[in-house]
Amino acid sequence: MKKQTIIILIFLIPAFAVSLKAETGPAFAIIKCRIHPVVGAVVEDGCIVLRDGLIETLGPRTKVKVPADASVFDASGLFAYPGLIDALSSDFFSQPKEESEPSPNAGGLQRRIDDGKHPGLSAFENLKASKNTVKQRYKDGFTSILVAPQKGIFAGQSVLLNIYEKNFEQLVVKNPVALHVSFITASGVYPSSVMGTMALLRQSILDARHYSMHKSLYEKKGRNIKRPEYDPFLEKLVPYAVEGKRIFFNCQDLEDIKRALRLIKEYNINGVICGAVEAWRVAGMLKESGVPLIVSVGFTPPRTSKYALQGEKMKEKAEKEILPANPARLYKEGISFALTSYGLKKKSELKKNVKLAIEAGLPKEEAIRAWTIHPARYIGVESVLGSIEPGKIANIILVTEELFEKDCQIARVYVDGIAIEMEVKPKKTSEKKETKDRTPVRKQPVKENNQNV
Amino acid sequence: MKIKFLSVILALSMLSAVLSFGEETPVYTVIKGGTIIPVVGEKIPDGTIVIKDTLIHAVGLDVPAPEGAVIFDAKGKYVYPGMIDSSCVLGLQEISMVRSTVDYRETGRFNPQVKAVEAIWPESMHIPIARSNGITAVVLTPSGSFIGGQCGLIQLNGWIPNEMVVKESLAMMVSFPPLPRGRRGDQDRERPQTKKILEELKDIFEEARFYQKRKKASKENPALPPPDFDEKMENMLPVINGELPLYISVQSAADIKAAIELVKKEEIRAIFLGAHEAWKVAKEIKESGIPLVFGSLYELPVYWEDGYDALYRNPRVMHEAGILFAFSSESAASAKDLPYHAAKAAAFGLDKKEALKGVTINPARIFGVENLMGSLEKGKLANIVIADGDLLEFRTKIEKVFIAGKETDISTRYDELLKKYKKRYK
Amino acid sequence: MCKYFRLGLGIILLLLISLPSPGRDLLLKNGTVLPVTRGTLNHCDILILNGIIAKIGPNIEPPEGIKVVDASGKYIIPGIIDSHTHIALTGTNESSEPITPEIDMRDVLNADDPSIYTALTGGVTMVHTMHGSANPIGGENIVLKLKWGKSSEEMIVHEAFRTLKFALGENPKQANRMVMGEQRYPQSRMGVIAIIRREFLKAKDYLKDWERYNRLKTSKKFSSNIIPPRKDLGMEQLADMLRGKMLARCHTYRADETLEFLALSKEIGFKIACFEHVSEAFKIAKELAEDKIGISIFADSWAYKMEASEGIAYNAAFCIQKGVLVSINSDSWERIRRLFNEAAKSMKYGGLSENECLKLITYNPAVQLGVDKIVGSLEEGKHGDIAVFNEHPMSAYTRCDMTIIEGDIYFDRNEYLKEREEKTATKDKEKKDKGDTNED
Repeated sequence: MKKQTIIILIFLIPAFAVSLKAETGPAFAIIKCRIHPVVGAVVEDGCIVLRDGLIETLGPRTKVKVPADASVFDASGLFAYPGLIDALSSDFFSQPKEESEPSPNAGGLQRRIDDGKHPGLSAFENLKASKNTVKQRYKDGFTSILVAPQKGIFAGQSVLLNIYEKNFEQLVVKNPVALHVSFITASGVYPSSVMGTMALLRQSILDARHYSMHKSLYEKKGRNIKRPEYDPFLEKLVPYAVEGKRIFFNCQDLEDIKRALRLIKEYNINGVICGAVEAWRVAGMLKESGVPLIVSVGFTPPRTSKYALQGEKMKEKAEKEILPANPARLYKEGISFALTSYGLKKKSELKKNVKLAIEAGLPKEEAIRAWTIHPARYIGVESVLGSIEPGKIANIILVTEELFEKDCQIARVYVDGIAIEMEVKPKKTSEKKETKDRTPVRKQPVKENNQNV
Repeated sequence: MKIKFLSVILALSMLSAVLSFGEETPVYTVIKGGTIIPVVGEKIPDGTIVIKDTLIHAVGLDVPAPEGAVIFDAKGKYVYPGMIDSSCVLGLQEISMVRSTVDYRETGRFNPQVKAVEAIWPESMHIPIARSNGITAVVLTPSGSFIGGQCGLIQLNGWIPNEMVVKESLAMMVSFPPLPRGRRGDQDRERPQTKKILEELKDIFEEARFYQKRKKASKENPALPPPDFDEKMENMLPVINGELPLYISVQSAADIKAAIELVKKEEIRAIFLGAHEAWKVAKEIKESGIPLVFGSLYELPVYWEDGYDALYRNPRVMHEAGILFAFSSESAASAKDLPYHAAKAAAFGLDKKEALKGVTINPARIFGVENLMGSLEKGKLANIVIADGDLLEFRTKIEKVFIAGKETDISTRYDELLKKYKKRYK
Repeated sequence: MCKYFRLGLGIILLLLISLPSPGRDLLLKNGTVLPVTRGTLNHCDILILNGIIAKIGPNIEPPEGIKVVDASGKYIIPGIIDSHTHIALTGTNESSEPITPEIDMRDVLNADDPSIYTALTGGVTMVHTMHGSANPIGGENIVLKLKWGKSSEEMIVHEAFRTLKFALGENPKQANRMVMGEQRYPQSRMGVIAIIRREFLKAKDYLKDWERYNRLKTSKKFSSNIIPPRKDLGMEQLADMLRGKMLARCHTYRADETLEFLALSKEIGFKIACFEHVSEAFKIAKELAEDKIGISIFADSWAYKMEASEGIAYNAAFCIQKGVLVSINSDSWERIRRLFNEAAKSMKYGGLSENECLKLITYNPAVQLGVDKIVGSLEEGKHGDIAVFNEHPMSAYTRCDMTIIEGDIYFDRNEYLKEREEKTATKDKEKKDKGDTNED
């Protein structure tokens, strides 16, 4: 039992399936916890009622009536937060094997040709389960994750998942969420440079618009109009370049952010800027643009940045002080943003890096918003995720301390109203937690209904 | 050993003198009225130099011109010793990107048997250009990934290679790995490439000593079999015996320290080439007594922390530490720019006189030919440059160049092409 | 409320961006001023107000609170301009295709490139930073002021000509030999000129298509069934060439191919701003002078490839004497910091005066870039872009001590030395401290 393990209540799966049917199922109540709903005031000694995978109601225990049919969980001493959302990740994504032949001789090298143009590549269709990732994600407090393809200029389309071990179909919150675009080059063909990539992006947007105009005219009038040649690439692009669906721009260095801003402005794109570890350096522009921002907590300076080019000492300082201050500086400029683990060298650095960001001046409440309501907003699921509010999806975490406190551990995770018990390491120094009235971790998975206290 | 000394040249020129004049009287040439900068010794305003055949016969204020001497009036001009480029590939490379014109690099890692002087193309268009800028002798450095071959000293005048060669073998070229490109990396760590080279060198020295031991033993006792002839080992013998220095192209501070260790341990002689980071280990270099030759200063420092002028101030730091140094062009097409490297160092704090020494007497000392060249002193080869100003300045025009007492042609491919196309404009 | 606040801030920001960047005030005292467009001024002051040279003359009274730099014994010249570089960029060539006019180097500016600082240490204040020479038709170049530490947008010089890179000879025909496993066309000089012609003819058709469409659109017969032509960014660029809104900067070495391009420009009807490198310009100085086409060349860098094997050191001086507008460029991350050395070589090779040499890296490139009204010489009303040298800039012993752009000091050797000394001192102290603890 000393090993940190997660016990997943496997036989809750039937209940899970039931809850997805949107029929009225049993209610669960979490009582005696401190509720941080993110939207709305903190509730001491609160009660949250869940039903059908949704949050039915919440409030102080004195005011909320626990339904008669509810199974009650005593969460004394615990803190309830909405489950965290990672707004960009490649977890669970498995890049499909390329079908193209290796180039016989590209500059003397065997190089695989990839034109980087796969806007139709769906993350959802290329998901792969991973127990360890689920475990790691729960441990960090995540219940939802935006899974996006990463390779290529037009990398593909992302899906927002609730995190659970399997049955991806049941976990989809939104699909597709966005088209993901990177300022990288193709391999073996045009474009071989970032300026080429920019030209390609511009031309592709223009072409998609021309194509769409031609097509709609043809569909409307048919006769007397030359039939447009079917273009599978532009077909996939039209929703994003013409119809205003979101494009997430993956931005490494400062100039990438400006590139994205330029495209967003030039072509009136519904854009979101991701990565952006140097975002504070263009705070003015970002603020003026109002473009949503998803900021990485990976603090490695980009290759082209002055923080990577002016010696080892500078690089060290950048990693430890300068880049971690990015979120804090944005906050001080009045720019709101979501945080993402994307760009972290090691996933295990997440907690440490969030702590660095908070130490650099990012208020904890803002950090919480940046992992909950802000990403929900930018992904377009604010009405169902990102806070503990009636009617929203019951993605909740119960933690042992205030979130991002040093000893904070995840005690319980609710995904779509399903509880997952987590093992909590006893505190080394004090014994006071011993008195806490908390359901002990059981070897035997226990049905929520039976946990009457 | 296989070192051809000046005697050959002396004999040749004596012979030519005899042939052309049909008598055994020496040929005197006199340069008078100019300001003489002998480099060794004080400046002589309105001085006179007397050349007897190939050598400087006299230098001074009131030196009488021998009877029948050819006299050059250098009034208002400056008279310098010819410059020496301590590392270049003149005559070994014509057009760098045209492979068929490149002869300074041999394939393979270990080529002690190849000699730069055996590949000179006397017709190279770059030779007259360098000469017309006051360079009269150069050290040719072959280079490869490791042991590149033997460096030789040539003078920049002659119809055939033999007339140009002053010293067939001056040093054995060894190349340590170059500094990493880009601006990142751990500065002090010993790199695996360096380690490999050090191990290889150790093995080669061991093998060469064993080879010599067997050779000697069999010579003393004919009953013992001699080693099988090995051209590579044969050529390494002068190195292990301390007769031929290693010319070590080495850049990083860590590598320089490693090279010093090696030289000490193997009890051999050495000269460093390049030495970008010498300023970081001036003390160690000084203690080792190893002289060094700077590579082209027209490069950027690899590490941001070193400051933009790291290469430019390097010579000054070396001078202040009391280390013997010289400059080089490391080039063929830009060999003529040698004086400007020296001047660049002066712009960043090196005394102007010391900068001049770095292209004249210092290289002569480093390569053990200070009895032959490097200054305007009696008994040395008459390698003399008459200029209308400071030898290291861009605006200075070189008016006459004497090599081994002979006035040389200072017209170039530049002049030839310009003359040809000027006709188009008439 | 937040929305209005945001809007307001946006407006303020916009205003800040659109205003000419207000530089600092600065007074340089008692230097030897080499204005380039007129003779040397000894013991002379230069007053810069709001980034603009307000006054040049002796004994200028310092306005209150102004920063004063003592330039006694120093030489003051206009900031050096490099007419051909590839610095401050992320990427140089889009070499996957031979024809890439849609490329815009503005998209890949990198204000963090340390080469900007390198250039400043050599007195360079402005560069024409260009697409590489891998393609017969490359991309659009850009002119920057090297305001190290400022954003890339603030560096762009909007007054400069718009220029498109072309390349002839060895580079375009050898670039990226294999594309998709096939040899890239063109592989010969014949192909290079043919492909450029082809693209311009295509651009003419493209323009016609649009003209026809626009005519139809305004006519009464216009039917909504008519689809507008596809907008092609590459063709748009070439159309701008044909409209004279953009000028060619053409990489060429040999005389013959230079003349071929010149002929093509007349055949097609586009303008050439300048030829790059032109090792053999001295062979065709007559034609260049007649057509008033400048050249941006190396001082004496030659014989590194076949087509550069006749690039004699007299090239610059001879062409100047024949009336060609010549600038000396670096085309190098390293040479850029010693352009003044390169320019000085034309005194030896061709007998140019010190001032004529200085013009090769100041006034002449300014004319070539279309910015001679604002920079290139020291004159009242021009930008306060200045380099200060310890000795005459055409001496081999000279060193740049200070570089100023619009009154702001971007490089100061004294400051640099002070910082270095401090760093060494702390390092030594660290070492010593470590040593002490070791002894314990």
